[in-house]
This record gives sequence, structure tokens and C-alpha cells, in this order.
Amino acid sequence: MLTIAPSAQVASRDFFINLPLDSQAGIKGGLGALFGFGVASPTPLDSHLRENDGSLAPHSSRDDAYRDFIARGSALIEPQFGSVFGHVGSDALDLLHRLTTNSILDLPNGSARRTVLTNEKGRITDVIWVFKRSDKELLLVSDAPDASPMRNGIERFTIIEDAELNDLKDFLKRWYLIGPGTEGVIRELLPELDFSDTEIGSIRGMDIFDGGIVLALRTDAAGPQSWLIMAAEAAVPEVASRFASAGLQPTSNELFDFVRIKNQVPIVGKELTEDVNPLEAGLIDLIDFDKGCYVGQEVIARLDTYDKVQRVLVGFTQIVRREDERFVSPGERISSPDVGRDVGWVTSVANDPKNDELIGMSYLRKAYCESGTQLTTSEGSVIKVLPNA
Amino acid sequence: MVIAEQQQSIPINTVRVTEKAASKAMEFARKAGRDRCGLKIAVQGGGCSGLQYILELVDGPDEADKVITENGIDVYIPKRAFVFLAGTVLDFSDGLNGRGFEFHNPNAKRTCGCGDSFAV
Repeated sequence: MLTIAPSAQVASRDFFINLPLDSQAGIKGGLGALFGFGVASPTPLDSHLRENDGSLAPHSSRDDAYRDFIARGSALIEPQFGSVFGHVGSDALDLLHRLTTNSILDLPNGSARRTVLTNEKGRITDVIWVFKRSDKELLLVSDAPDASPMRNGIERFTIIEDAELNDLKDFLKRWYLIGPGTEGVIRELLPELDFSDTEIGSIRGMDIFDGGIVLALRTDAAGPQSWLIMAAEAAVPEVASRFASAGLQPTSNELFDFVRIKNQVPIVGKELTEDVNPLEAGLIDLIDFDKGCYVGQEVIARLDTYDKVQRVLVGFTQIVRREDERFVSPGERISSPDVGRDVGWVTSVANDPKNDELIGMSYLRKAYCESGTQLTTSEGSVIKVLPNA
Repeated sequence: MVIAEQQQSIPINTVRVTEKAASKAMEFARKAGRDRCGLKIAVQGGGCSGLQYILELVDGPDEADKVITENGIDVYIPKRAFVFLAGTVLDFSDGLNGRGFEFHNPNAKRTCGCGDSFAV
């Protein structure tokens, strides 16, 4: 059930309501208008839906969830990770541009772009979707299990800037829809929105009724067809009702992890940590090498210029030699039979429900990342490097 | 007096602008047609090391600025930035290999290659 703590309510409403309004448009004109979205026609709602707390019955078992995912091509996840922040103020955009790897100053209003918050050593603190409502109003969306590194990474460098972070976690309920059939599912769920041209980073929004904002952001969080649905409190019962009508039940975060690992998509907290830099993590597309200084830029530019990236992220599968063999765990070191030292480490693992095979992701030194290479973990398990997904 | 000696000799609760830096700042102001202005020294988030210096000619201090007069020029420092700048000497380095205005900041634990960014 979505609840709003009094303090969070004040902060979040600051973000949504204390925005400059266009001409005659008031709050009653629809908060969706404040986001630069067209306001959808009000959807007739049964009164009981408004009283519903938005709870959905989850799948009864992992196998049940997997079967449903295969049949439908899409799964609904209530993520137990991630956060949403409002970042407001006349310096908010400029500050974030100065602290992160991608160029966001040219981001058009009403669109989103991903950027990497790095530390002074050029290592990853967080990877953030920045949705720009206007020069003064941003929405920051992260999949990190803990929001405090991002918060600290921004707030400790907010000195004379007019910029403020507001945690909207308790104000915006989030769901992920993932899987190859998701686009069809989302078109049926939210027919008011225009999904005719949706690439990764596309964001659509509407106001179902006064204050009932629903945002849909296409990401690649678990693979190319991943949509993050965010709904303000007033819209949660309606969105939950639509999920239920479509037969969608929330599935465990385990399935999200399986799909993500199958698609070799890194996530903050597992692959994307302060142990690695964005080049090692394969996030070169999120780095603008011409934008000038940002925190950690000097290190990242040097690594790129002198081709000093030593390791890369790869997928692997475990070669099970005995029926009772243990599965590989995150954190295990990886070595090669031909050298007496570590060549990498395991970051994530997941069980393929279809054939009970273990798949995973790991960082490996470049010389050992060719598809088919067999390596041994510190616990004696054998893994085989998979081709890029 | 060399910069290191100046840094040792100034109280930690102030910022010093060398005669050369003050003279250069006033020269820039004159060229810009601004006879009556001050030099704002501030710090903002960003740069390779996390914090970067800002130098700006401004008409007067903001409410939250600390005001210091150094070698004939008024210097305005936002109080929130002062904690990062206390004890700093602002100098000017000219010549072919000169780097222009240079900050010698005792609070900086690390400075990036260009000298505009630092970490504390």
C-alpha cells in the first residue's frame, strides 16, 4: 500500500506544485500539463477503484510466474530497488551536467537521458535517468538499491547552487514491465498515450485525473523492452486496476534479475559499483568526451586515450559436472588454468527456470573474455564465457 | 614574498589576493568598462576533482558574501564557499607558459591538471 509520510508529502508536492504555471493554467488544469505532456481525457472510474489501495496479488510460485512470463512475453515487477528524486532549482541542470559523464544541457524539455554519476577516481557512484521537465525541474530515476550514494554525490557538491533534491519514493509508486512482448502490453494498458515512436529514453505521461499523473519511461533496465511505470498516489488504484484487468500479477525481483542477466544488462549495486569505471562497465555510450570537465573526467579521458581499460563485463554460464555441484555465487574470484592469479570476479548469477542452468555476469581481464573461454572460480566451479547478448 | 610564505603568514580566516592578481583583475575590469566593480571568488560543484573555482567581476556583494579588500580591490566570497577557500592566495602567472589566475589553496588535498578543480 502506498503511504505518504508528512515530510515526504511536503517535499514531493513542492516538486509537483511549486512549479511556474503557464498563463492561465492552474493546478486544476492538470498536473500533466506541468510536465509538458498532453493531458489525457479523464477516464471514467468506478468509485471502488479510487478506494482501492492499489495492492495486487502476486504469483503463487516462481514457476507460475515464469510460465506466465513466457506465455505473455511480459512480466510485471514491483521493484524492491531504485529511487526517484525531484531535482529542482535554477542550477539543478547545470550542476548535474558538471557532475556526470553525459551531456544533459542540450536535453529537450519533456525527454530523458541517462548519465553516470562518477567519483573523483572516475568510478561509478550511480547511473541515473534524467527526465527534464524544464531548465529548473528534473526527475532523477535510479535503479540503485541504495539512494544515499547518489544523494551524497550530488548534495556534497551543492555549495552555492540553487538546486535541491527531493525524495519522491513515497510519492511515486513504481512498476517495471519487462520482456519482448511489453510494448504490446503497455499499449493496451495505457491507450491514452502515443507509443508510435518509442526508443530507449522515450517518456510518455498523462494526468488520469487531477493529480493522477502516470509516467511511462522506456529504459533498458532488464533488456531492450523494459518500461518503468510511475504513478502518483491518486493514480495508483487506477493503474493497479488496469494491471489486474490485463491479468498481470506482480512477479518476484528474481525474474527481473534473470531477464536482466540473460540480456547481459548491468545494474547499480552489482555490476555498476565504485570498484569499476564506466568504460569497464560498457557504458561508453553514456560518456560525452567533448563536454568538458565533470567529476572523474580526467581519469576516464586518460583510460580512453591510452586504451588502458583492463577488464570488461561479460556473461557466462556454469558448466555443471556433477548433479550435486554447488552453484557459483556473486563475489567469487575467477582464475584461469594457465595463470596463477585472478583474472576477474563474479557480479551476478541467476537460475534459468527453463533448464535449471546457471547464468551470470562477471568482470574479466580482456585476454580472457573471448566467447567459449573456460575459467575456474575460487570455489572450484567451472564457467564458460558467453558471447555478447 | 613567495606564495608558500604568504600562505603561512596569512590568517586562516581570510583570502589573500596578490598585488599582481589584484592589478590584473582591475585591468580586466577597466578593459570591460567597469570602473566600479569587485572580484567574486567562489566554489561550485564540478570539475575533474569535484569542486571548481569561479572568478567573476561583479557590481557588488550579495547579501551572503564575505567582503575583503585586498591590494585595492574588493573581494566578495559567498559564506558557503568560504569554508573551501579560507587561507587561499590568489596569484596571477603570466608569460608564455603562464596559467593566468592561480589558486594556492591549503584546503585542496588534490588538484586536477588544469588547476581549476580541486578536492578537499
